[in-house]
Amino acid sequence: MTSTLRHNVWLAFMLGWQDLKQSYRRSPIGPFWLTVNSGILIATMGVVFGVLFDMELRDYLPYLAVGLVTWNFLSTALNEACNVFVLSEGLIKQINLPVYVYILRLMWKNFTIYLHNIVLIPVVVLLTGRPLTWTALLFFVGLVLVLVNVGWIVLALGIVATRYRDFSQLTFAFLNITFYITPIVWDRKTLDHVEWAQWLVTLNPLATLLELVRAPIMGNVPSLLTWQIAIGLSLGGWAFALLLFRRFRHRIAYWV
Amino acid sequence: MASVSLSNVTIDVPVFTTKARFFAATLVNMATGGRLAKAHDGSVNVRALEDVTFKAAEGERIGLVGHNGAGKSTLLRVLSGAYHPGIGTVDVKGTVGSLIDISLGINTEATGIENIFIRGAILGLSKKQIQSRLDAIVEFSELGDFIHLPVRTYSSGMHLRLAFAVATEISPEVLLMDEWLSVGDEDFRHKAEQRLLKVVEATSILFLASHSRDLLEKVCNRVIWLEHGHVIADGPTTEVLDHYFTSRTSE
Repeated sequence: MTSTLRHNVWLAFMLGWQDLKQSYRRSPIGPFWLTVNSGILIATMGVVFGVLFDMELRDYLPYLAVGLVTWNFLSTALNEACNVFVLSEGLIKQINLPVYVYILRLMWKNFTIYLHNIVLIPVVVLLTGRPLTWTALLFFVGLVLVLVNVGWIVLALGIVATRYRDFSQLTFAFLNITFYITPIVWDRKTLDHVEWAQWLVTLNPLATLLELVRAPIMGNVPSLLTWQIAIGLSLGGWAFALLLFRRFRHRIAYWV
Repeated sequence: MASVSLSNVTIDVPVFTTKARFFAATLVNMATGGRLAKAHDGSVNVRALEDVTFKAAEGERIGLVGHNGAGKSTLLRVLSGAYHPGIGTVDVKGTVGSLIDISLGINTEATGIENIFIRGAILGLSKKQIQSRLDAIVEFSELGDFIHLPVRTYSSGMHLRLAFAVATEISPEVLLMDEWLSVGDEDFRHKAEQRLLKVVEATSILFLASHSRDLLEKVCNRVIWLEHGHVIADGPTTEVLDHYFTSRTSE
């Protein structure tokens, strides 16, 4: 049994790695093309919005860097989740691979891209001369919680979006809007006096996930409420996704 | 001991109209009440298999015949485990391998070598197994140095030779095939034929869907005739094929 599991995990990683390579195969600097891209984006947005919001670049650039690369990971993973089974129609209709192979494949691809972008975080922190404290290590704890949550969302979204094809457009539109209402380029502190905005951020699960990895880099420990929401979301989300999975796992092959 | 047993298997395949594919439309339907929703839901179930029951034991070479849409492909999907039946039970003992689409999973941007690993892993071969057979696969495919180039640079013949060389590395107990595989030029075809026969001989139970009488008579010792998802006949090859082909010519 365990050897089958190991084999399938290996297969998923290999397929995910191939998917990733696909996107930079004809580029001479390989996957770091993605890093350069994100670097330019952070520098441009950092300067533009930093000046616009009259922010201290020393604080704003690292804030934006963590938020932006993590958001890119979340939004790409969720957008691709809608097609996680649809794109593997051939495989799903012909062989009986466990569903987690497809989920892992997508996660691995996007996580690898994320890893290439994470490199930018220490670079930005060093360039801005901010001190990195031990608190920054909490980043990794936050990262695990982010991955746990992306996992159930990909599974649930994958199942639903295979049945209802317009879910991929809905998700795309939803994420586009969410980018603006989530504190990524702006800081919730600047809206301290607007109570409804504070509620909007607290109730936004993606904002919570971002806060988990961003606060440690900024030298803060995420609030107790942030941890509570994140852990509750992980448990509740997985319970929901597994129920959905149990109910519809055998329908996937018919729906793709 | 490999064995296959299907009892009362019924498969309904949902066919979605565009409307039923859309969540927004479904929401509107729900909002306008259940009665309307039922009438305009737009999803139709096609009964691809109905009440299919048979057992297959070691040594059986089973041919599947029937017109297009009779349920042969669906049955192969059930046997591979891809389709889980809504009604009835499927019990397959032994490893299942498929030679239905030998190009399945091939990534044209990846090199030949990479594809040997991808395809091999999809077929269930371990990394070690693939590594130990790598040279043999490359040699069999006759690709030479092309094996290090992306598959998109291959001719269709080269592509198929690679796919065939990897796909036939498997040694499953239950083998599924849709028509006989025939690839490459004269020389390669002979070599491929030998190799395919070896795989088929090594397998315990074979399922082969085909329209070719010659092939079925040569390979199979039992034939199942499907029509509209029903088993019309199940028995010795010549007997069933006589029936099947007379019914076809009388149409």
